[in-house]
Amino acid sequence: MMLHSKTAIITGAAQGIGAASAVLFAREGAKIVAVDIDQKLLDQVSEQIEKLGGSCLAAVADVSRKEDVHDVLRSAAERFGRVDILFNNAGIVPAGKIDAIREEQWDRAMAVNVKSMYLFCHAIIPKFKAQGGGVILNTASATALRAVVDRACYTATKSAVIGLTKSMALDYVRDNIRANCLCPGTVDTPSLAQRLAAFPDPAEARKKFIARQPMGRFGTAEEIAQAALYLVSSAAEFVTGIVFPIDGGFTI
Amino acid sequence: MNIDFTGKVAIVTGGAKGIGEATARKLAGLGAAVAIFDIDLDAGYRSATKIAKSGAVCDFFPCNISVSAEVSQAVAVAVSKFGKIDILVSNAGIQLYGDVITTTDEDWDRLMGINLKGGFLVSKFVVPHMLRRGGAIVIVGSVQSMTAIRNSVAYVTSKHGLLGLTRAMSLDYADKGIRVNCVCPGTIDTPMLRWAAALSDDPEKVIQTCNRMHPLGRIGKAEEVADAIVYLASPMASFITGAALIVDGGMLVPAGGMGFQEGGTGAATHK
Repeated sequence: MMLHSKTAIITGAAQGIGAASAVLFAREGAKIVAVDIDQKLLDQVSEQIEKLGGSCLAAVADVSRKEDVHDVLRSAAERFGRVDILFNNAGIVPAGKIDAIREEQWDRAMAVNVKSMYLFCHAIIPKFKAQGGGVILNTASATALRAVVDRACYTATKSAVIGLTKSMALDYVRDNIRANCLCPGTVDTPSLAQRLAAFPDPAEARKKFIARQPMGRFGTAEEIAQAALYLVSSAAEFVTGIVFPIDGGFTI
Repeated sequence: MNIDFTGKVAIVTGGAKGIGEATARKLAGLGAAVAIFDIDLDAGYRSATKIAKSGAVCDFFPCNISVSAEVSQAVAVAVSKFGKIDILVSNAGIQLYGDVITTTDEDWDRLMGINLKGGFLVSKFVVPHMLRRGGAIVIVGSVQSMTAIRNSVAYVTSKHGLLGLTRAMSLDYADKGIRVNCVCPGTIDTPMLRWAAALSDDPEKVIQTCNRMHPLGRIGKAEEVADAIVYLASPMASFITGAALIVDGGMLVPAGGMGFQEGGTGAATHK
Protein backbone atom coordinates (compact mmCIF):
# COMPACT_ATOMS: atom_id res chain seq x y z
CA MET A 1 0.00 0.00 0.00
CA MET A 2 1.39 3.34 -1.07
CA LEU A 3 0.16 5.38 1.91
CA HIS A 4 0.37 2.83 4.69
CA SER A 5 0.13 4.43 8.16
CA LYS A 6 -0.16 7.96 6.70
CA THR A 7 -2.87 10.46 7.57
CA ALA A 8 -4.23 12.71 4.85
CA ILE A 9 -6.41 15.79 5.05
CA ILE A 10 -8.43 16.25 1.87
CA THR A 11 -10.58 19.33 1.37
CA GLY A 12 -13.55 19.38 -0.97
CA ALA A 13 -13.82 15.68 -0.21
CA ALA A 14 -17.59 15.25 -0.51
CA GLN A 15 -17.71 14.99 -4.28
CA GLY A 16 -15.69 14.65 -7.45
CA ILE A 17 -11.90 14.65 -7.32
CA GLY A 18 -11.79 15.08 -3.53
CA ALA A 19 -14.13 12.17 -2.87
CA ALA A 20 -12.34 9.90 -5.33
CA SER A 21 -9.01 10.82 -3.73
CA ALA A 22 -10.34 10.17 -0.23
CA VAL A 23 -11.47 6.69 -1.26
CA LEU A 24 -8.29 5.91 -3.18
CA PHE A 25 -5.96 7.18 -0.44
CA ALA A 26 -7.94 5.09 2.08
CA ARG A 27 -7.59 2.00 -0.12
CA GLU A 28 -3.85 2.67 -0.12
CA GLY A 29 -3.77 2.59 3.66
CA ALA A 30 -4.16 6.24 4.64
CA LYS A 31 -6.34 7.48 7.45
CA ILE A 32 -8.53 10.21 6.01
CA VAL A 33 -9.68 13.56 7.29
CA ALA A 34 -12.38 14.42 4.76
CA VAL A 35 -13.29 18.11 4.78
CA ASP A 36 -16.27 19.66 3.05
CA ILE A 37 -19.06 22.14 3.60
CA ASP A 38 -21.73 19.62 2.56
CA GLN A 39 -22.36 17.34 5.52
CA LYS A 40 -24.76 14.94 3.82
CA LEU A 41 -22.48 14.09 0.92
CA LEU A 42 -19.43 14.06 3.17
CA ASP A 43 -21.05 11.45 5.42
CA GLN A 44 -21.62 9.23 2.39
CA VAL A 45 -17.90 9.37 1.50
CA SER A 46 -17.00 8.66 5.09
CA GLU A 47 -19.35 5.65 5.19
CA GLN A 48 -17.87 4.35 1.96
CA ILE A 49 -14.37 4.51 3.43
CA GLU A 50 -15.41 2.86 6.69
CA LYS A 51 -17.06 0.08 4.66
CA LEU A 52 -13.73 -0.53 2.94
CA GLY A 53 -12.25 -1.03 6.38
CA GLY A 54 -10.58 2.38 6.40
CA SER A 55 -10.69 5.21 8.92
CA CYS A 56 -12.28 8.50 8.05
CA LEU A 57 -13.02 11.60 10.05
CA ALA A 58 -15.72 13.65 8.33
CA ALA A 59 -15.06 17.28 9.17
CA VAL A 60 -17.69 19.77 8.09
CA ALA A 61 -16.08 23.13 7.49
CA ASP A 62 -16.04 26.27 5.42
CA VAL A 63 -12.41 26.14 4.34
CA SER A 64 -12.29 29.91 3.87
CA ARG A 65 -12.90 30.49 7.61
CA LYS A 66 -9.92 30.43 9.95
CA GLU A 67 -11.93 29.09 12.91
CA ASP A 68 -13.22 26.19 10.82
CA VAL A 69 -9.76 25.31 9.56
CA HIS A 70 -8.38 25.32 13.09
CA ASP A 71 -11.26 23.11 14.24
CA VAL A 72 -10.46 20.63 11.48
CA LEU A 73 -6.80 20.47 12.46
CA ARG A 74 -7.68 20.11 16.13
CA SER A 75 -10.08 17.22 15.56
CA ALA A 76 -7.64 15.59 13.12
CA ALA A 77 -4.92 15.70 15.78
CA GLU A 78 -7.29 14.33 18.43
CA ARG A 79 -8.41 11.44 16.24
CA PHE A 80 -5.22 10.48 14.41
CA GLY A 81 -2.29 12.28 16.05
CA ARG A 82 -0.03 13.45 13.25
CA VAL A 83 -1.01 14.53 9.75
CA ASP A 84 1.37 13.65 6.90
CA ILE A 85 -0.46 14.82 3.81
CA LEU A 86 -2.48 17.94 3.10
CA PHE A 87 -4.46 17.87 -0.14
CA ASN A 88 -5.99 21.32 -0.69
CA ASN A 89 -8.62 20.51 -3.25
CA ALA A 90 -11.75 22.51 -2.35
CA GLY A 91 -12.72 24.93 -5.06
CA ILE A 92 -15.59 26.65 -6.77
CA VAL A 93 -16.04 27.73 -10.38
CA PRO A 94 -17.69 31.09 -10.91
CA ALA A 95 -18.59 31.42 -14.59
CA GLY A 96 -18.58 34.56 -16.67
CA LYS A 97 -16.41 37.21 -18.21
CA ILE A 98 -14.87 39.64 -15.79
CA ASP A 99 -17.45 42.38 -16.41
CA ALA A 100 -20.17 39.97 -15.35
CA ILE A 101 -18.44 38.72 -12.19
CA ARG A 102 -19.83 40.44 -9.11
CA GLU A 103 -17.43 41.54 -6.41
CA GLU A 104 -18.94 39.03 -3.95
CA GLN A 105 -18.31 36.23 -6.45
CA TRP A 106 -14.71 37.36 -6.87
CA ASP A 107 -14.15 37.52 -3.10
CA ARG A 108 -15.81 34.19 -2.49
CA ALA A 109 -13.78 32.41 -5.19
CA MET A 110 -10.53 33.91 -3.88
CA ALA A 111 -11.50 32.86 -0.37
CA VAL A 112 -12.47 29.28 -1.19
CA ASN A 113 -9.90 28.59 -3.88
CA VAL A 114 -6.86 30.45 -2.57
CA LYS A 115 -7.19 31.72 0.99
CA SER A 116 -8.27 28.27 2.17
CA MET A 117 -4.86 27.00 1.06
CA TYR A 118 -3.14 29.81 2.93
CA LEU A 119 -5.13 29.02 6.07
CA PHE A 120 -4.45 25.29 6.00
CA CYS A 121 -0.77 25.66 5.07
CA HIS A 122 -0.20 28.48 7.53
CA ALA A 123 -1.51 26.33 10.33
CA ILE A 124 -0.05 22.97 9.35
CA ILE A 125 3.47 23.86 8.19
CA PRO A 126 4.79 24.48 11.73
CA LYS A 127 3.51 20.99 12.59
CA PHE A 128 5.13 19.51 9.46
CA LYS A 129 8.41 21.18 10.43
CA ALA A 130 8.20 19.91 13.98
CA GLN A 131 7.54 16.34 12.89
CA GLY A 132 10.30 16.35 10.26
CA GLY A 133 8.28 16.77 7.08
CA GLY A 134 5.02 16.55 5.21
CA VAL A 135 3.47 16.67 1.78
CA ILE A 136 1.24 19.38 0.33
CA LEU A 137 -0.76 18.98 -2.84
CA ASN A 138 -2.94 21.73 -4.26
CA THR A 139 -5.57 21.51 -6.96
CA ALA A 140 -5.02 24.18 -9.60
CA SER A 141 -6.52 23.81 -13.08
CA ALA A 142 -5.64 23.36 -16.72
CA THR A 143 -7.23 26.78 -17.26
CA ALA A 144 -4.26 28.29 -15.43
CA LEU A 145 -2.06 26.99 -18.27
CA ARG A 146 -4.33 27.71 -21.26
CA ALA A 147 -7.18 30.14 -20.86
CA VAL A 148 -10.77 29.29 -21.73
CA VAL A 149 -13.65 31.73 -22.20
CA ASP A 150 -15.89 32.76 -19.32
CA ARG A 151 -13.53 31.60 -16.57
CA ALA A 152 -11.50 34.74 -15.83
CA CYS A 153 -12.07 34.82 -12.08
CA TYR A 154 -11.62 31.07 -11.71
CA THR A 155 -8.44 31.18 -13.79
CA ALA A 156 -7.06 34.02 -11.67
CA THR A 157 -7.58 31.97 -8.52
CA LYS A 158 -6.02 28.87 -10.03
CA SER A 159 -3.02 30.77 -11.37
CA ALA A 160 -2.53 32.10 -7.86
CA VAL A 161 -2.53 28.52 -6.61
CA ILE A 162 0.39 27.76 -8.91
CA GLY A 163 2.38 30.72 -7.56
CA LEU A 164 1.60 29.75 -4.00
CA THR A 165 2.64 26.16 -4.63
CA LYS A 166 5.98 27.06 -6.18
CA SER A 167 6.78 29.56 -3.44
CA MET A 168 6.00 27.11 -0.67
CA ALA A 169 7.95 24.37 -2.42
CA LEU A 170 11.00 26.60 -2.35
CA ASP A 171 10.52 28.04 1.13
CA TYR A 172 10.17 24.68 2.88
CA VAL A 173 12.27 22.40 0.75
CA ARG A 174 14.91 22.08 3.48
CA ASP A 175 12.19 21.19 5.97
CA ASN A 176 11.41 18.05 4.02
CA ILE A 177 8.06 19.47 2.95
CA ARG A 178 7.17 18.90 -0.69
CA ALA A 179 4.50 21.03 -2.39
CA ASN A 180 3.07 20.33 -5.83
CA CYS A 181 -0.07 21.16 -7.74
CA LEU A 182 -2.38 19.36 -10.11
CA CYS A 183 -3.96 20.92 -13.17
CA PRO A 184 -6.99 18.81 -14.03
CA GLY A 185 -8.63 19.32 -17.39
CA THR A 186 -12.33 18.88 -17.81
CA VAL A 187 -13.35 16.13 -15.46
CA ASP A 188 -16.72 14.43 -15.26
CA THR A 189 -17.75 15.51 -11.77
CA PRO A 190 -20.89 16.90 -10.14
CA SER A 191 -19.22 20.30 -10.40
CA LEU A 192 -19.03 19.94 -14.20
CA ALA A 193 -22.64 18.72 -14.35
CA GLN A 194 -23.70 21.89 -12.53
CA ARG A 195 -21.77 24.07 -14.94
CA LEU A 196 -23.27 22.27 -17.95
CA ALA A 197 -26.75 22.62 -16.46
CA ALA A 198 -26.24 26.39 -16.53
CA PHE A 199 -26.15 26.34 -20.36
CA PRO A 200 -29.42 26.86 -22.29
CA ASP A 201 -28.92 23.42 -23.86
CA PRO A 202 -26.87 21.28 -21.44
CA ALA A 203 -26.69 18.27 -23.79
CA GLU A 204 -25.37 20.44 -26.60
CA ALA A 205 -22.91 22.08 -24.19
CA ARG A 206 -21.69 18.67 -23.10
CA LYS A 207 -21.06 17.74 -26.74
CA LYS A 208 -19.12 20.97 -27.29
CA PHE A 209 -17.04 20.42 -24.16
CA ILE A 210 -16.20 16.90 -25.30
CA ALA A 211 -15.37 18.10 -28.82
CA ARG A 212 -12.50 20.21 -27.45
CA GLN A 213 -10.95 17.18 -25.73
CA PRO A 214 -8.12 15.61 -27.77
CA MET A 215 -8.92 12.22 -26.25
CA GLY A 216 -12.57 12.65 -27.17
CA ARG A 217 -13.72 12.26 -23.59
CA PHE A 218 -13.69 13.87 -20.16
CA GLY A 219 -11.41 12.69 -17.43
CA THR A 220 -12.77 10.83 -14.46
CA ALA A 221 -12.34 11.86 -10.85
CA GLU A 222 -10.54 8.56 -10.25
CA GLU A 223 -7.93 9.42 -12.86
CA ILE A 224 -7.14 12.69 -11.13
CA ALA A 225 -7.06 10.87 -7.80
CA GLN A 226 -4.41 8.51 -9.21
CA ALA A 227 -2.21 11.49 -10.08
CA ALA A 228 -2.77 12.88 -6.59
CA LEU A 229 -1.77 9.50 -5.14
CA TYR A 230 1.48 9.48 -7.08
CA LEU A 231 2.41 13.01 -6.03
CA VAL A 232 1.72 12.49 -2.31
CA SER A 233 3.39 9.08 -2.20
CA SER A 234 7.03 8.29 -1.62
CA ALA A 235 7.35 7.40 -5.32
CA ALA A 236 7.47 11.17 -5.92
CA GLU A 237 10.06 11.92 -3.25
CA PHE A 238 12.24 13.91 -5.69
CA VAL A 239 9.27 15.87 -7.04
CA THR A 240 8.55 19.30 -5.62
CA GLY A 241 7.26 22.59 -6.97
CA ILE A 242 5.74 21.08 -10.09
CA VAL A 243 2.61 22.00 -11.98
CA PHE A 244 1.18 18.79 -13.32
CA PRO A 245 -1.53 18.76 -16.02
CA ILE A 246 -3.89 15.77 -16.11
CA ASP A 247 -6.03 16.87 -18.93
CA GLY A 248 -6.20 14.32 -21.72
CA GLY A 249 -4.00 16.60 -23.82
CA PHE A 250 -6.25 19.67 -23.42
CA THR A 251 -3.40 22.12 -22.79
CA ILE A 252 -1.18 20.94 -25.62
CA MET B 1 3.99 1.13 -6.66
CA ASN B 2 1.20 -1.39 -6.77
CA ILE B 3 0.88 -1.50 -10.53
CA ASP B 4 0.50 -4.80 -12.32
CA PHE B 5 2.09 -4.97 -15.76
CA THR B 6 1.59 -8.71 -16.09
CA GLY B 7 0.99 -9.55 -19.75
CA LYS B 8 2.38 -6.18 -20.92
CA VAL B 9 5.36 -5.78 -23.20
CA ALA B 10 7.71 -2.83 -22.87
CA ILE B 11 10.63 -1.52 -24.89
CA VAL B 12 13.19 0.59 -23.05
CA THR B 13 15.79 2.29 -25.21
CA GLY B 14 19.10 3.03 -23.56
CA GLY B 15 18.09 0.33 -21.09
CA ALA B 16 21.60 -0.88 -20.37
CA LYS B 17 22.52 1.76 -17.83
CA GLY B 18 21.29 4.60 -15.66
CA ILE B 19 17.66 5.68 -15.86
CA GLY B 20 16.91 3.17 -18.62
CA GLU B 21 18.30 0.29 -16.62
CA ALA B 22 16.39 1.31 -13.48
CA THR B 23 13.21 1.61 -15.56
CA ALA B 24 13.68 -1.77 -17.21
CA ARG B 25 14.22 -3.32 -13.78
CA LYS B 26 11.14 -1.65 -12.35
CA LEU B 27 8.87 -2.55 -15.28
CA ALA B 28 10.05 -6.15 -15.17
CA GLY B 29 9.57 -6.26 -11.41
CA LEU B 30 5.96 -5.23 -11.93
CA GLY B 31 5.37 -8.08 -14.37
CA ALA B 32 6.12 -6.65 -17.82
CA ALA B 33 8.18 -8.46 -20.41
CA VAL B 34 10.96 -6.00 -21.19
CA ALA B 35 12.99 -5.51 -24.35
CA ILE B 36 16.15 -3.54 -23.72
CA PHE B 37 17.47 -1.61 -26.72
CA ASP B 38 21.00 -0.33 -26.40
CA ILE B 39 24.18 0.10 -28.40
CA ASP B 40 26.39 -1.06 -25.53
CA LEU B 41 26.61 -4.82 -26.01
CA ASP B 42 28.32 -5.70 -22.73
CA ALA B 43 26.15 -3.52 -20.51
CA GLY B 44 23.00 -4.47 -22.45
CA TYR B 45 23.50 -8.20 -22.02
CA ARG B 46 24.53 -7.73 -18.40
CA SER B 47 21.45 -5.66 -17.59
CA ALA B 48 19.03 -8.04 -19.37
CA THR B 49 20.61 -11.13 -17.85
CA LYS B 50 20.46 -9.69 -14.36
CA ILE B 51 16.78 -8.83 -14.72
CA ALA B 52 15.97 -12.22 -16.28
CA LYS B 53 17.77 -13.96 -13.40
CA SER B 54 15.35 -12.32 -10.98
CA GLY B 55 12.61 -14.39 -12.63
CA ALA B 56 11.30 -11.69 -14.96
CA VAL B 57 11.14 -11.77 -18.74
CA CYS B 58 13.80 -9.53 -20.21
CA ASP B 59 15.84 -9.65 -23.38
CA PHE B 60 18.50 -7.51 -24.98
CA PHE B 61 18.20 -6.20 -28.53
CA PRO B 62 21.42 -4.52 -29.67
CA CYS B 63 20.69 -1.49 -31.80
CA ASN B 64 21.98 1.91 -32.76
CA ILE B 65 18.92 4.03 -32.07
CA SER B 66 19.94 6.64 -34.66
CA VAL B 67 19.96 4.19 -37.59
CA SER B 68 16.56 3.58 -39.11
CA ALA B 69 17.24 0.06 -40.40
CA GLU B 70 18.60 -1.09 -37.03
CA VAL B 71 15.67 0.31 -35.07
CA SER B 72 13.16 -1.13 -37.52
CA GLN B 73 14.88 -4.51 -37.26
CA ALA B 74 15.09 -4.45 -33.46
CA VAL B 75 11.39 -3.56 -33.15
CA ALA B 76 10.47 -6.34 -35.58
CA VAL B 77 12.51 -8.90 -33.65
CA ALA B 78 11.07 -7.74 -30.32
CA VAL B 79 7.53 -8.00 -31.70
CA SER B 80 8.14 -11.47 -33.12
CA LYS B 81 9.53 -12.52 -29.76
CA PHE B 82 6.94 -10.93 -27.45
CA GLY B 83 3.95 -10.64 -29.79
CA LYS B 84 3.13 -6.95 -29.23
CA ILE B 85 4.24 -3.70 -27.64
CA ASP B 86 2.23 -1.90 -24.95
CA ILE B 87 4.83 0.46 -23.52
CA LEU B 88 7.68 2.37 -25.09
CA VAL B 89 10.20 4.18 -22.94
CA SER B 90 12.32 6.30 -25.27
CA ASN B 91 15.30 7.03 -23.09
CA ALA B 92 18.52 6.60 -25.06
CA GLY B 93 20.58 9.74 -25.01
CA ILE B 94 24.05 11.18 -24.83
CA GLN B 95 25.49 14.39 -23.50
CA LEU B 96 28.05 16.54 -25.28
CA TYR B 97 29.27 19.99 -24.33
CA GLY B 98 29.95 23.02 -26.48
CA ASP B 99 28.40 26.24 -27.70
CA VAL B 100 27.30 26.81 -31.23
CA ILE B 101 30.84 27.71 -32.31
CA THR B 102 32.74 24.93 -30.59
CA THR B 103 30.25 22.17 -31.35
CA THR B 104 31.39 20.42 -34.51
CA ASP B 105 28.73 19.45 -36.99
CA GLU B 106 29.71 15.80 -36.55
CA ASP B 107 29.01 16.09 -32.83
CA TRP B 108 25.77 17.93 -33.52
CA ASP B 109 24.62 15.23 -35.93
CA ARG B 110 25.63 12.42 -33.61
CA LEU B 111 23.85 13.90 -30.60
CA MET B 112 20.74 14.87 -32.56
CA GLY B 113 20.77 11.44 -34.20
CA ILE B 114 20.69 9.62 -30.90
CA ASN B 115 18.69 11.96 -28.65
CA LEU B 116 16.07 13.33 -31.02
CA LYS B 117 15.99 11.24 -34.18
CA GLY B 118 16.29 8.14 -32.01
CA GLY B 119 13.03 9.11 -30.30
CA PHE B 120 11.42 9.71 -33.66
CA LEU B 121 12.64 6.43 -35.15
CA VAL B 122 11.67 4.15 -32.32
CA SER B 123 8.24 5.82 -32.15
CA LYS B 124 7.88 5.51 -35.92
CA PHE B 125 8.34 1.76 -35.78
CA VAL B 126 6.52 1.11 -32.51
CA VAL B 127 3.38 3.24 -32.98
CA PRO B 128 1.98 1.05 -35.80
CA HIS B 129 1.95 -1.82 -33.31
CA MET B 130 0.00 0.31 -30.82
CA LEU B 131 -2.62 1.70 -33.19
CA ARG B 132 -5.16 -1.06 -32.69
CA ARG B 133 -4.95 -1.74 -28.97
CA GLY B 134 -3.49 1.52 -27.66
CA GLY B 135 -0.35 2.01 -25.66
CA ALA B 136 1.77 4.34 -23.62
CA ILE B 137 4.92 6.13 -24.69
CA VAL B 138 7.18 7.86 -22.21
CA ILE B 139 9.95 10.01 -23.58
CA VAL B 140 12.83 10.96 -21.33
CA GLY B 141 13.43 14.67 -21.73
CA SER B 142 15.23 16.79 -19.19
CA VAL B 143 14.84 19.99 -17.23
CA GLN B 144 16.77 21.17 -20.28
CA SER B 145 13.59 20.55 -22.28
CA MET B 146 12.38 23.80 -20.70
CA THR B 147 15.47 25.69 -19.65
CA ALA B 148 19.07 25.85 -20.78
CA ILE B 149 22.50 25.61 -19.30
CA ARG B 150 25.63 27.12 -20.78
CA ASN B 151 27.84 25.34 -23.26
CA SER B 152 25.30 22.64 -23.98
CA VAL B 153 23.69 23.81 -27.19
CA ALA B 154 23.15 20.46 -28.87
CA TYR B 155 21.87 18.70 -25.77
CA VAL B 156 19.50 21.54 -24.84
CA THR B 157 18.19 21.70 -28.40
CA SER B 158 17.65 17.95 -28.58
CA LYS B 159 15.83 17.84 -25.25
CA HIS B 160 13.60 20.78 -26.20
CA GLY B 161 12.88 18.89 -29.40
CA LEU B 162 11.81 15.81 -27.48
CA LEU B 163 9.17 17.82 -25.64
CA GLY B 164 7.88 19.01 -29.01
CA LEU B 165 7.85 15.43 -30.26
CA THR B 166 5.94 14.38 -27.14
CA ARG B 167 3.28 17.03 -27.60
CA ALA B 168 2.93 16.49 -31.34
CA MET B 169 2.59 12.72 -31.07
CA SER B 170 0.23 12.96 -28.11
CA LEU B 171 -2.20 14.96 -30.26
CA ASP B 172 -1.78 12.75 -33.32
CA TYR B 173 -2.67 9.58 -31.43
CA ALA B 174 -4.92 10.81 -28.60
CA ASP B 175 -7.98 9.29 -30.26
CA LYS B 176 -6.17 6.00 -30.82
CA GLY B 177 -5.66 5.32 -27.14
CA ILE B 178 -1.94 6.00 -27.32
CA ARG B 179 -0.73 8.32 -24.60
CA VAL B 180 2.58 10.13 -25.04
CA ASN B 181 4.24 11.88 -22.13
CA CYS B 182 7.64 13.22 -21.22
CA VAL B 183 9.61 12.91 -17.99
CA CYS B 184 11.97 15.80 -17.28
CA PRO B 185 14.63 14.80 -14.78
CA GLY B 186 16.98 17.17 -13.03
CA THR B 187 20.50 15.97 -12.34
CA ILE B 188 20.40 12.25 -11.69
CA ASP B 189 23.19 10.03 -10.41
CA THR B 190 23.87 7.95 -13.51
CA PRO B 191 26.95 6.83 -15.44
CA MET B 192 26.28 9.80 -17.78
CA LEU B 193 26.57 12.28 -14.91
CA ARG B 194 29.70 10.59 -13.59
CA TRP B 195 31.16 10.81 -17.10
CA ALA B 196 30.32 14.50 -17.31
CA ALA B 197 31.78 15.16 -13.85
CA ALA B 198 34.97 13.33 -14.78
CA LEU B 199 35.55 15.91 -17.53
CA SER B 200 36.37 18.38 -14.76
CA ASP B 201 39.56 18.55 -12.70
CA ASP B 202 37.55 18.04 -9.55
CA PRO B 203 34.66 15.63 -10.24
CA GLU B 204 33.51 15.55 -6.63
CA LYS B 205 33.12 19.34 -6.65
CA VAL B 206 30.91 19.06 -9.73
CA ILE B 207 28.65 16.64 -7.88
CA GLN B 208 28.55 18.96 -4.86
CA THR B 209 27.58 21.86 -7.12
CA CYS B 210 24.87 19.70 -8.68
CA ASN B 211 23.57 18.85 -5.23
CA ARG B 212 23.32 22.57 -4.42
CA MET B 213 21.45 23.38 -7.64
CA HIS B 214 18.51 21.32 -6.40
CA PRO B 215 16.46 22.86 -3.61
CA LEU B 216 16.19 19.38 -2.08
CA GLY B 217 19.95 19.61 -1.62
CA ARG B 218 20.84 16.50 -3.55
CA ILE B 219 20.85 15.00 -7.01
CA GLY B 220 18.21 12.42 -7.84
CA LYS B 221 18.40 8.66 -8.11
CA ALA B 222 17.71 6.74 -11.31
CA GLU B 223 14.98 4.83 -9.43
CA GLU B 224 13.17 8.07 -8.67
CA VAL B 225 12.92 8.86 -12.38
CA ALA B 226 11.98 5.25 -13.11
CA ASP B 227 9.07 5.61 -10.66
CA ALA B 228 7.77 8.60 -12.62
CA ILE B 229 8.16 6.75 -15.93
CA VAL B 230 6.39 3.67 -14.60
CA TYR B 231 3.60 5.85 -13.27
CA LEU B 232 3.09 7.58 -16.64
CA ALA B 233 3.17 4.23 -18.45
CA SER B 234 0.56 2.74 -16.13
CA PRO B 235 -3.23 2.94 -16.09
CA MET B 236 -2.84 5.30 -13.12
CA ALA B 237 -2.09 7.96 -15.74
CA SER B 238 -4.91 7.08 -18.13
CA PHE B 239 -6.03 10.73 -18.56
CA ILE B 240 -2.53 12.13 -18.90
CA THR B 241 -1.17 12.79 -22.36
CA GLY B 242 1.16 15.42 -23.79
CA ALA B 243 2.37 16.21 -20.29
CA ALA B 244 5.86 16.88 -19.00
CA LEU B 245 6.42 15.44 -15.54
CA ILE B 246 9.29 17.22 -13.84
CA VAL B 247 11.38 15.13 -11.47
CA ASP B 248 14.02 17.60 -10.41
CA GLY B 249 14.11 18.06 -6.66
CA GLY B 250 12.65 21.52 -7.18
CA MET B 251 15.42 22.68 -9.51
CA LEU B 252 13.14 24.64 -11.84
CA VAL B 253 11.29 26.44 -9.05
CA PRO B 254 13.63 29.19 -7.81
CA ALA B 255 13.88 32.31 -9.96
CA GLY B 256 17.53 32.88 -10.69
CA GLY B 257 18.44 29.42 -9.44
CA MET B 258 19.50 28.35 -5.99
CA GLY B 259 22.69 30.41 -6.20
CA PHE B 260 20.60 33.56 -6.47
CA GLN B 261 18.27 32.39 -3.70
CA GLU B 262 21.22 31.80 -1.39
CA GLY B 263 23.09 34.99 -2.20
CA GLY B 264 20.44 37.28 -3.64
CA THR B 265 17.04 38.43 -2.50
CA GLY B 266 16.38 35.04 -0.95
CA ALA B 267 19.20 35.74 1.50
CA ALA B 268 17.10 38.31 3.34
CA THR B 269 15.03 35.56 4.91
CA HIS B 270 17.44 32.69 4.54
CA LYS B 271 18.13 30.85 7.76
